[in-house]
Amino acid sequence: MKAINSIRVVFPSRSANEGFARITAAAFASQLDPTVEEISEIKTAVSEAVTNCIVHGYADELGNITLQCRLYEGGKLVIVIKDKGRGIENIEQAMEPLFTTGDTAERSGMGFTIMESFMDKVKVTSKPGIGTTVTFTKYIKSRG
Amino acid sequence: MNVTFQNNFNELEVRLCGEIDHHCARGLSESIDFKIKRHRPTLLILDFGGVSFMDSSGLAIVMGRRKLMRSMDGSVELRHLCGGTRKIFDMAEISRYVIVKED
Repeated sequence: MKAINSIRVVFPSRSANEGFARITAAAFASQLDPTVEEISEIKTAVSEAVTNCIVHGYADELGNITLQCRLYEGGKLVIVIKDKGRGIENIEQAMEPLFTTGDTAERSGMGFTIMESFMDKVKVTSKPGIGTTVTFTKYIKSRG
Repeated sequence: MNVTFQNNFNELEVRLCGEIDHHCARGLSESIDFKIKRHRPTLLILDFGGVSFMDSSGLAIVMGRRKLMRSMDGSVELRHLCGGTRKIFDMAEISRYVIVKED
């Protein structure tokens, strides 16, 4: 299926860009006339994924994060967040509620749980040393 | 993120305003902890009424402050949870750990 509309934004893994990324995704989604609740869910899921890239993917370095948003027929929105950081050894474990890597910073371990709850589909692919890609699918119902 | 503090006897009230994410989390936690250590309240009130966006960093902030307050035999109360913030706190079953004051 070919996308009706798409954007691709690349930005450095600075935490100041977390806000930029979620606002960008929300602005792209706004063409589907989503509800305030749907916008809030998109912003939160994107914020979680981008924070993971910064905190885990590029833990001790600065790297590029790619945000792609694609719009398909039927109100299907696909958001891809990709880093070329250190990758995840055990994806299943990383996605468990309350799992954290146990670093000294305060983390809730609820990131993936929130993403899964707010998006219709969450797909994570990762290779240690190569990077991580998180793909969200969300259907925005037409209110017309 | 804008934060204002009000100290009433044994209570420290923290009014949060704006967006809470990982970017502002550390600075926010540090400024709250500074006030807690200075005033040593028995109840820390976190007012989320002015929060327009929050991700899981907000959970980590609450759980971290709970840990500090418990170490001083104090507790934490959350106020004015609504919309997105309430959904995230409910998901984490936060009321098992802190007081949630219903409006």
